[in-house]
Amino acid sequence: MTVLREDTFRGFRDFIYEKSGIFIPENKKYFVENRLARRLQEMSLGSYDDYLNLLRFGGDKEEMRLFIALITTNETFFFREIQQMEVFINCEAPRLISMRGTEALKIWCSASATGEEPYTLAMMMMESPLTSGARAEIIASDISSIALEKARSASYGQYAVRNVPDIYLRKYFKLNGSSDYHLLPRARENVKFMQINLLDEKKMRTIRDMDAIFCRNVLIYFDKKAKIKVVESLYEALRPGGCLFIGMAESLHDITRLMRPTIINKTVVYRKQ
Amino acid sequence: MGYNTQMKILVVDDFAMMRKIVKGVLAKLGMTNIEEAEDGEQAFKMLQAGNFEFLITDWNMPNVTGLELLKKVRADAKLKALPVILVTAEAEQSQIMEAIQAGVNNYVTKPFTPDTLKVKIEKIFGT
Repeated sequence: MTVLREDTFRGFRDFIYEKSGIFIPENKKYFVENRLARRLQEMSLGSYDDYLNLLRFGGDKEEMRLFIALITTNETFFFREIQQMEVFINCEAPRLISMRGTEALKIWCSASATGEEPYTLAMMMMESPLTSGARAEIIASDISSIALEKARSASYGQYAVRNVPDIYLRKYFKLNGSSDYHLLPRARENVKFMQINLLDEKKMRTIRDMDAIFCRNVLIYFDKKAKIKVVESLYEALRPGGCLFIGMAESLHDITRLMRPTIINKTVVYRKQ
Repeated sequence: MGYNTQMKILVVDDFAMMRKIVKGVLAKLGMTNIEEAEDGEQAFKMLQAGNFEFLITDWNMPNVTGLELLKKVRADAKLKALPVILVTAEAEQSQIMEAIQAGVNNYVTKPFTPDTLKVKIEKIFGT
């Protein structure tokens, strides 16, 4: 088993920060080791140094795609932090729908990983009488194109569906074999994917006029400077009256004063005035 | 400028916001003679009825997809020479190969900037 040396770790840390904005503190060396160990083995590389050099100088786009996926993709599941989704469906969505009139509601899941979050929203909106009459356009973006491909293929394992209520499982999933849950087209129709790095201002500027943005459990990986930049971009993408949801354990305290937190059922919603 | 900014363009996407984004980008390039369709089926009818000079269509749409629309256009005697740009979610090589084989003129990956689209349009309309 090869060891990740301190100086190589710092090399990876800087490289990851440059490519993704994710900041890995000194005490998280094990994170880099854990995420990359298998890849080193698969490639029969003798050291982490070799892998870092290959990424830096090899010009292999496919390897870069894999690396970004390994570092940025975290396993997630449907109906995660459901209280927030419920606040959105029951309180924010009806308000936003009435503002929109006949136009479709525009929602952006800005760190959608393998698709569980946008698909959960799409299903919940179809099921709730408060939202089922409205049209919705859900944009799902992620930095990792590999995660997005997985999202589009819409096949999930036991872990991802463990919180899915039975009624949804029966209505929206087809079970292939014993553990491959395939999401049916009706749940996927209102979701479109695109690749966006949250720190890429040019790409971030192409998204505008959003009613709601979900950016959950991703800001924690950024340093303060990157957080401020991302939150500013998200603010710009919202229409007045629109709302932002971040992770339940996250806060925008000392990150922005642009949006004031409103607390609904113990859930924090940031609204743009 | 190597293209006619007056040309009649059809923008196809089932998401209104994506049509708006594409229209916004085209407007930045000086092109405003634009009509919209919500899916491949509606688009094909509009193409047959109107004298469109350029088609920009999303790939992933319900009913008739962008690729199917492209194939229908290429198989139609009147429309077969129409310049077409496909909008894809990400530059997936296998998808692009399929589109090229079906006769697409070029493609862009979402999200794209005015500069990116401009380069592709100039490539098609030759400057």
